[in-house]
Amino acid sequence: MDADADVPMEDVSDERQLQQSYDDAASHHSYQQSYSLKNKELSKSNINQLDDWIEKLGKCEPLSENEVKTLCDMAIEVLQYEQNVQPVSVPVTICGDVHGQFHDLMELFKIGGPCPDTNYLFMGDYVDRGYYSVETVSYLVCMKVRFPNRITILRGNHESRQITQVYGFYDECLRKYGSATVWKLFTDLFDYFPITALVDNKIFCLHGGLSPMIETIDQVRELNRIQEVPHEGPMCDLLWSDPDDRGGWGISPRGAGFTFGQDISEQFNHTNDLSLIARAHQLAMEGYSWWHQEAVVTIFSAPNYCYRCGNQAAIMEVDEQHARQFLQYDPSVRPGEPTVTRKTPDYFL
Amino acid sequence: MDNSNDDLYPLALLMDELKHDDVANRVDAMKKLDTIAIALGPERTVNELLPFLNEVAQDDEEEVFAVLGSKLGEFVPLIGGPEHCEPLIRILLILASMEEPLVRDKAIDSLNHVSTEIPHDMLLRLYLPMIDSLSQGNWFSKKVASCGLFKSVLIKVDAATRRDLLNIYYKLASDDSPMVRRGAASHLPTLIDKLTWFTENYPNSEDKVDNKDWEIISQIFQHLINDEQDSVKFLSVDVLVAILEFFQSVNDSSHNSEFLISSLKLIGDESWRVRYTAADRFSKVAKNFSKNFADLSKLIDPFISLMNDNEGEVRKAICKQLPEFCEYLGEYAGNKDVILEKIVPIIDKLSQDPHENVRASLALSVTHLSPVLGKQSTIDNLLPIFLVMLKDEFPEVRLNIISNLSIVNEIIGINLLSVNLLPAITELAQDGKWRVRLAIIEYIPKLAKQLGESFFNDELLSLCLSWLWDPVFAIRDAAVNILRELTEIFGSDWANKEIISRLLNNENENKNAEGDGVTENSKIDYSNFITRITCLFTITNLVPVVDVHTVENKLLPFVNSFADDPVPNIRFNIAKAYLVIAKALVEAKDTLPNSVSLIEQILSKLGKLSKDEDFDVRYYSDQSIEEIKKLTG
Amino acid sequence: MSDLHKLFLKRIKERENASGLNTLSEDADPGIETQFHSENINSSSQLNRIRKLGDDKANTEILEHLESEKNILFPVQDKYYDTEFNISFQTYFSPPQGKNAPIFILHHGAGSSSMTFCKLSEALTMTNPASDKVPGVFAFDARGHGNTESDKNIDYSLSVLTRDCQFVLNSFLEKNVSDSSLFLVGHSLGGAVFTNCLVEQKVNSKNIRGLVMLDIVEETAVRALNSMPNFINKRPAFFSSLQGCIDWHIKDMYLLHNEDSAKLSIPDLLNGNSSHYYWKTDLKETSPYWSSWFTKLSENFISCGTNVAKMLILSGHETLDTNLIVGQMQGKYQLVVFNNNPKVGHFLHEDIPSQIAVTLMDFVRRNDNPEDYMKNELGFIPKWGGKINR
Repeated sequence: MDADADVPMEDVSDERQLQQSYDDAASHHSYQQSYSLKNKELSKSNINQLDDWIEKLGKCEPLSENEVKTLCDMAIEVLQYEQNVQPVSVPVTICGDVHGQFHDLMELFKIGGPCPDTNYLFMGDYVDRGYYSVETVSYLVCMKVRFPNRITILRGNHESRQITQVYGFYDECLRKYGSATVWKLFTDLFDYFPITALVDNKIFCLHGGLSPMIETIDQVRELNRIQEVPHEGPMCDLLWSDPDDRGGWGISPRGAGFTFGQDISEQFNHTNDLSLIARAHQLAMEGYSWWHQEAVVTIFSAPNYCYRCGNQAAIMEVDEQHARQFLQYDPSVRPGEPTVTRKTPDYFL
Repeated sequence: MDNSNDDLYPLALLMDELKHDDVANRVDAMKKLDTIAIALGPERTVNELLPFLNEVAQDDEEEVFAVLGSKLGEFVPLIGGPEHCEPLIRILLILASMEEPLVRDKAIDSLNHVSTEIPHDMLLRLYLPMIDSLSQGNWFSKKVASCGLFKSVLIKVDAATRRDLLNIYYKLASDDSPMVRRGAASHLPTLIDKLTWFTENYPNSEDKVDNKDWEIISQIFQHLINDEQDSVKFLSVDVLVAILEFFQSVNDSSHNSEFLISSLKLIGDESWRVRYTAADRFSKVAKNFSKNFADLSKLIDPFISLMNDNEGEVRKAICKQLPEFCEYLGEYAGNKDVILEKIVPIIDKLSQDPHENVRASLALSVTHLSPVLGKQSTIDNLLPIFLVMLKDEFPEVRLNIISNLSIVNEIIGINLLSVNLLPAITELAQDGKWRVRLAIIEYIPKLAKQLGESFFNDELLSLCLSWLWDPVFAIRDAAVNILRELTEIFGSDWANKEIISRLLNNENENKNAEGDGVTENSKIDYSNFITRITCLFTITNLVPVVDVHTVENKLLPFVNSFADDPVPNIRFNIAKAYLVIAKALVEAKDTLPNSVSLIEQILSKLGKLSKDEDFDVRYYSDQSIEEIKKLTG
Repeated sequence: MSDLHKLFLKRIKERENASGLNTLSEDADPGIETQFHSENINSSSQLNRIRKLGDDKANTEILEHLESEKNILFPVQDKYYDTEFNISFQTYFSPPQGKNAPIFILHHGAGSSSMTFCKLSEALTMTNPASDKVPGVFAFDARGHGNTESDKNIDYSLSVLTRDCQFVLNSFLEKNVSDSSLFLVGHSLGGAVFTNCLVEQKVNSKNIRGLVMLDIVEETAVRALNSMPNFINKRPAFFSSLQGCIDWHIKDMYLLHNEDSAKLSIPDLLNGNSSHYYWKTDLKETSPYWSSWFTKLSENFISCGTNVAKMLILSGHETLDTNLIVGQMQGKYQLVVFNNNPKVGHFLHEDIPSQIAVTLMDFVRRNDNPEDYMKNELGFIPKWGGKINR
């Protein structure tokens, strides 16, 4: 009954462990000095380094642990100054869950065009379930640091310490780096991700949905977001709630957040002078689905989710006149996924 | 190894390396063998290196032996000429007797090569006893090795010795061990080719090949063709081809009926490997019957049976033979109908074969039937098949058809081809799957080359331009790239007239001047960001392939007009475009007198952009300024 | 487990702790050391078992302990007699206390019995004595299991087990008329039986608020069934002592990880006396019915029971099949996984009863009465419009 027999052990050595703890202790101080990006622009050497990383990650090759450390420090400097409701201008292409399906993320850029030529807004859930969470989140964070004005990355309910321990990101980090250090670096970084975005003051974008405790967008601005996703309360709801066919509020069957009906969506859009709530979080077989007479749209960007659900993916282009175009796509053509052997228990009655 | 001047140094180093634990190091060391021999000189190579290698050849691993075996083939000059070649041959003989086929083959090749570099008497003195003793070896690998050595002596001996050799070969071909029979079968075609060559070149030699020789060969062939092992039997197809080629060369068709029976037997063999080989060499066999209509006709039904074979690999192989076989058939009047009645229906069936590789193979050959069948039959019978295959889901099938359309074009003319083909291409160009659209786009330059400019303008240009507005970026990007490729094909003037004027919204002026009533509706609406950035990409991409006056008068003003675009993504792409234009201007500075002032103008625009409110615009402007300054010095 | 692997796991634990990762285990330290210790003495366990041969005193003590715990935990122990099949179902009931207290209905898995839920029941009913609301717990032994008495040649098909369940629940509801909300909690096969009950809708109650499945996923279960004959053959036919059987479960097979719980659940699985204890349930007899047990389970779990909240609790890894993934990604149920803890196995309600109880109580808190939950627990009333859905 080996609990985690799929974790490679040869990657771990005493030296490496020691080196890591040394790095952990030493780095915090020195990086503070060399990467103070507040109100400053990226230096030429930063840009070259980021471009190298983006090229490497583009080939689905993960960064080293030290590179991740540097990247996350740089990313915190960028993300901590973003707002709870990060303003975004048009034109922009809005995307939903990716879930570690790295090759499908590359397909997404083939469909929507490469960043930075196209502006992107991702609504969370970069990690877990797919086999390349590390590469996916590293790539998007690299793009964010390199082109902070061209790409916005919101937090999803999977960008959390607790959820990633269950759905694969934690295990993947152990598998690829031999320790939980990279997992810790990224989950610490997730606390800084903005939780919502407002496209040209008209489209409210977030991962989950509305909260009964939030009436106005200004109330979102008042939240303290830099923390682990709580189990209850408005920040939790924004990342967990789902629209529902039934009116009013409901308890979400997910165990966190709420369900909200058309009356709630319309009221919210009216109060805040919005044309649309764009969110992700739910699998849509066509890649996107309209709710509440086009007051809410769900966008899901992981085709054939978990390599088995058979769904299409979609992204939504919003142009300067706020016209929307949905682009649907199928899984990328790629050599077979690595076969992950699932442990079969001995006893199951 | 303190003294690298030491004469023994190279050998010692090699010995050291050859003792390395890692086989890869030993292989690498062995690859340097010739360098070491040169360093040692002929005498020491013979006296020191060869004895050492003689030991190595008995105690190492196969990878090392294989390298040693092939290196020694080049060794005759390194040991000071043929007189010292005996120890060399001894080492090769050890290697040639090994069980590992890779080592054996290398050693045999080397032995055969050495045989060409030694005098005739020496050849006979050394090789004949070697072949004889190997052929009686106590182990299969020695017998297999002997099979490979016959070619070095067969046509260098007198008629009697030759007959003895062939008799030894007959024994080998009927050996108990299938490996030996296989060895005999695989080397036999080369031996027959040698005899053919000898007969052609020395028709009056007193040692010329006679019927007695052929009787032995024929017996060997009969043995092989009836061998119980498929792995031996399939090799007899090449033996048959070699025999047929001999009789072809001496204009002797008296044995044809006999060989036809053998051919039919192989084609109808129950083993698919034998049928596959027969299918793969079908034209070579048919060629030798092509002079006789009756004989050739007897191959039609076997050909069809191979086309209907259960095994996909066999069908794939026979599809490749279609053009040549039909060409032979087509030389006889009346056979065209046979092709139409008997073969084309099967082609029709194969065009929808369940195996994509069969279809791809057919797509490669089927267009070549057009010259055989002529214009009307191509239109009536082949075009429908082309259309089906053009829509095949497997891209290689479509590509193979499109790449070979020029053949069809020559037979039926571009108009007929286009009328029939364009609907299919247009349909694919609008396929719901973007990868299908992409596949068609990628063939467009190929088609353009085959169809010519005016036809292209009339029929395909608007399709190409429409891809620029595709919702999927990858399609727009491909369209941008093919417009550049098309410009390289049709030239700068074409691009100016057909692409640039349209994108710049001044086509109406041109067209109206020509009296070609185009409405205002065809103007491009630049209010959409994607439209603007796609036009910008297209124009930027054309800069290097159009003449510099077009760059100056059309493209640069167009780029300038976007410098104040409200979207930063456009502005930093303008910054990038300026660099591309500046490069073109620098390259053309001899023909364009005002290039310096134009570059100054660009730098001033970039200077303004480098103070933009957006970081990326500033960054790319600075980059371009820096690059341009490097260019202009 | 290789030494290297142990070392590796230990290191991970250390790093996790250093990272402030909650280790989801019952005790503060997951105690890998303890586990290794138990492995070390494993080689001599055979010897221990022989030594215990004839140790009547120890056996009697274990049975007396079970009897007294059982009576404390379940004040009401009735037999429900089913005339149609001539089966007398053993039931256990700890009545709810306080207004609107919910009742958990528990169904054990194949080869188990109601006593598998002793520690969970204890955690549900006794951990918070100050509360004015104590949930009720009702459990029963399935046919051929525990202390339910039935004829030989038992039909174990899912439809028959579902019928039994409906009979027992309807009898229970007749005897104990109340407005209590009901939460169905089924372990393994028990989860499949409850899901099927909701599909068939023959339980006479409008108060079923929740369905919880403990460690059962259709695809995994179907796959695991292939290795079941092997497992059953590996099972000793009898044990010389009750402690020997407990040790076999904990130390030889790692099926259970909590000895306190095993001392209550295991004796109920065995018949016999002094030196010869054999299984009450012959698992081989159930094998013809395995294929019926889990087919379409995932699909049914997602779609069954309108307005019934659902939760799936798994041990070890997240091993959802396609239907469950789609359902989860559309927000149809709550998933809780107790992973990265080697001391939690298939019988997770025995291994970590208090954590399962907390999870269940939290599930009840949210789903029993949403309006109260919002008002009392979250301390607010929605400000604008909209009614609150159950």
